[in-house]
Amino acid sequence: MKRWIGIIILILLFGVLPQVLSRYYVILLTKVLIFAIFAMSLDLLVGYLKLPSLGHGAFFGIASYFIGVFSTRVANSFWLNFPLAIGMAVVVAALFGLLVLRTRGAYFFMISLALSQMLWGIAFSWRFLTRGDDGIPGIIRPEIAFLPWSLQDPLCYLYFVLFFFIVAFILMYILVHSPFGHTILAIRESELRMRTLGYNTWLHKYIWFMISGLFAGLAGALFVYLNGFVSPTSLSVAMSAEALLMVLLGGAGTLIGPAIGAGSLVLLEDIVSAYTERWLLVLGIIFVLVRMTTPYGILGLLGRSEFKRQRKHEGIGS
Amino acid sequence: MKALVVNDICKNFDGLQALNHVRVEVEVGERQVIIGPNGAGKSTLFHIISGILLPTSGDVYLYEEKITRLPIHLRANLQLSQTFQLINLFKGLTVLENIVLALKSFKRTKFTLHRRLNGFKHIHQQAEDWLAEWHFWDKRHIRVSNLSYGDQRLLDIMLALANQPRLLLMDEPTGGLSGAEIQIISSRIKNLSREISILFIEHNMDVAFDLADRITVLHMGEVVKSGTPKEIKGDPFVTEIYLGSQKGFEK
Amino acid sequence: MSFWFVQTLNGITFSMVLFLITAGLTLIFGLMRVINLAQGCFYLLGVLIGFSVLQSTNSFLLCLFFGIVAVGILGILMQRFFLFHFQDDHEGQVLLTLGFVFILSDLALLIWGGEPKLLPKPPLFEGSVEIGTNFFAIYRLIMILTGILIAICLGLFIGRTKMGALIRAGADDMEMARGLGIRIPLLFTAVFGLGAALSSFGGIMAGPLIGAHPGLEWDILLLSMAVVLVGGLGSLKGAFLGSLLVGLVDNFCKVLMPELGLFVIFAAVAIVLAFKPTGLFGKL
Repeated sequence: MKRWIGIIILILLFGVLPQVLSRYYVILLTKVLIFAIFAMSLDLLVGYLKLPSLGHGAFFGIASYFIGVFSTRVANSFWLNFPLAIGMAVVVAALFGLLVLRTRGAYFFMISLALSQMLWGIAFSWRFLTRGDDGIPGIIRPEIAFLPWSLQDPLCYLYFVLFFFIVAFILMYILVHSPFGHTILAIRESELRMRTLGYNTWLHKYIWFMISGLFAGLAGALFVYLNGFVSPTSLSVAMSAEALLMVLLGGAGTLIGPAIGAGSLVLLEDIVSAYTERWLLVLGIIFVLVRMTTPYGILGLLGRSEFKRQRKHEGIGS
Repeated sequence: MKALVVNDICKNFDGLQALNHVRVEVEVGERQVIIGPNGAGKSTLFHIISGILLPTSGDVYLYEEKITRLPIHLRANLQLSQTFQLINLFKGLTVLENIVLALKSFKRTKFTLHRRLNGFKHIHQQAEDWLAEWHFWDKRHIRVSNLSYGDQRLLDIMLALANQPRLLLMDEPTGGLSGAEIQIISSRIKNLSREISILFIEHNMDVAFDLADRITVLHMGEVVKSGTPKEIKGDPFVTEIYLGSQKGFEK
Repeated sequence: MSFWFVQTLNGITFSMVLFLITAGLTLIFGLMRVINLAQGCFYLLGVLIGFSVLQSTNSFLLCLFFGIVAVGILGILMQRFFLFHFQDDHEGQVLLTLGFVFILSDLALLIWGGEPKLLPKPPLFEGSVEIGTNFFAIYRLIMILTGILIAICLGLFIGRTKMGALIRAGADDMEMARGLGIRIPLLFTAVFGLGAALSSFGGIMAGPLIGAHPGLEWDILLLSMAVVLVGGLGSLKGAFLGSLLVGLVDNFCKVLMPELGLFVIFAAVAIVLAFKPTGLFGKL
């Protein structure tokens, strides 16, 4: 119960606070929400399926690029581009899933990285479509007919994104607590036993993988509208790595943890970048420090009971 | 019709011939025990029957249906089940959650995304009834990792029974248990319906002779003898195999 | 005809470079079950350190020496003080190496700046030699020979020496090796240092051809990962053959279809993996 009150307060904060903040911080807060969605989507893989993916940026970036290309060359229609972009992310997840889910541990890591780099390579090289390294500028937020306000206004866009954040969070929460979610957790614990009990574990993992890709795509779509610009960076390893760090920082397997991790990292980047160009160095140091000291993330530090339970049963050689 | 036919199975691991033209038959309702010294190939045989491994050659038939290359979960759907030598339960979950998980497998509810687990009353009711039958009801909310070893073994058997198996594979069901616990497990197994055919691996000779209708002896990847407990007990070659190895006739 | 010949030799040249890095990756994975994402950084740092040394001493030999030793020591330090704490946590180790990639690559940017650099060829090996109707750079031939030499040495080292046997024992059965009294932590550190040194060596050797530029640490890592994915983790033979394959494919693609870049390589990797999830020689 306490947890829920905390969440509601946080959301109210996001609703009320921006009214008094400057434009810069409104945009920053919007970025926080978008990356929170991205991190949560990755948590579905990392925390619930124990698949530490270094290629999650692929789904994020492909949605961004889809909107980038379509809105500048075809039509800037929200109802066309937005769902299709997310659909594109799911398609890519479906394709990647076929290859990636047959592997385990080290191989999974590498293949997920390799596949997303493949996409990055296409974005970089296929200048005709993607303008390569230069990226695609001039992406304008579309007008949505039934909304009385314009998305061009940063504050309105923040609330727009907040809406999707709440929806995404609720959906993922329900998902994780559903029978399907329970099955996934059981598969995480002992896939062999689940198979002998009659579960088609591969199919379960595949569907879960695509759902994770869907939410990552949602984040990517919202991100490109925020920036008005897309470049291969959206598909880069750095993007995937930052997402992974957000999940680990906040605490994998909790959904809220990664959201908090995302917020922390986005704000931290903002602060650090004001003083030095060496953000990547700082990021790397944080990565190493986090790993060395608190493998269960911020929430683990706060002593959440789930982690005590997890720690007890992880044992040797999980 | 036989419950299980393992026909001319060979398994080769990079030059090591683990199983060599093995033939095993289990009659419907039969309790057959596979015995043999360590390294005889018993677990390999089990893995091939359950689908964890694929044979190099030969076939496996379940009620005359060929299952040689069928994926594990589809064999479970054909009502083949197994318990494991090393406890393979969901230790982080409670007893009730484990049973529900096993029962859920064959209901369409497992793909439902939109309702909380506890909302599915009928599965829970079924689970609780079943737990009561096995005197587990008051332990239903205990986390499996906190159960005694004997209770874990019992739960293992329950999980394997969830899909109403026609063939049950039991890999050393009494492994690591004390005398009293062995008694409990043995009587549970004896009380299982004869609609379930059971194939065991056992190292405990007392249990093996107690439970078996038929004993098959495996040695160095080959079947050396198959017969009633009496026939096996008296066979000089079998005795020699066992006296030659460390296990011998365990008490 | 000559075009294919020259390009094939060029491809093989690159393959040798790839092999040096991948051999390191393979050794480290084979023994410790860790994928060292910083392997590309070791390569990059090798070139950069070599560059600085060359600027002050003009000796390629010293350049090699310092580059290899410095990076080797860096690898040893990294393993001893950081990775060591995650002995059985493979996921943690991989993530730790990821963190180091960010640290090392940004430090490299800070110290050496972002301009692409190329090492000058050692004067002894400048010039070309005539093979049939083609001219082929002597240096490239030297690289191919060196690569083959190292491959043979490594193979002999792993296969025939006591140290190699220790490594193989540790890779096969860690518990047994510990039980036999093999100083596992020392072995890990040594192998990690060796892997780093090999990578750095590759970087310096390729210095006159590829040089160093920001982002190289990822480019080269990904290519060697492609090698490993195709050749299989833990197999030195696979690393060599995989390097040949990837090196040749990459070279021909760059020449014939420059727009496709990495895509072709990884598409090929995807196809191989679709049929054999553990790579052509995978031991996973």
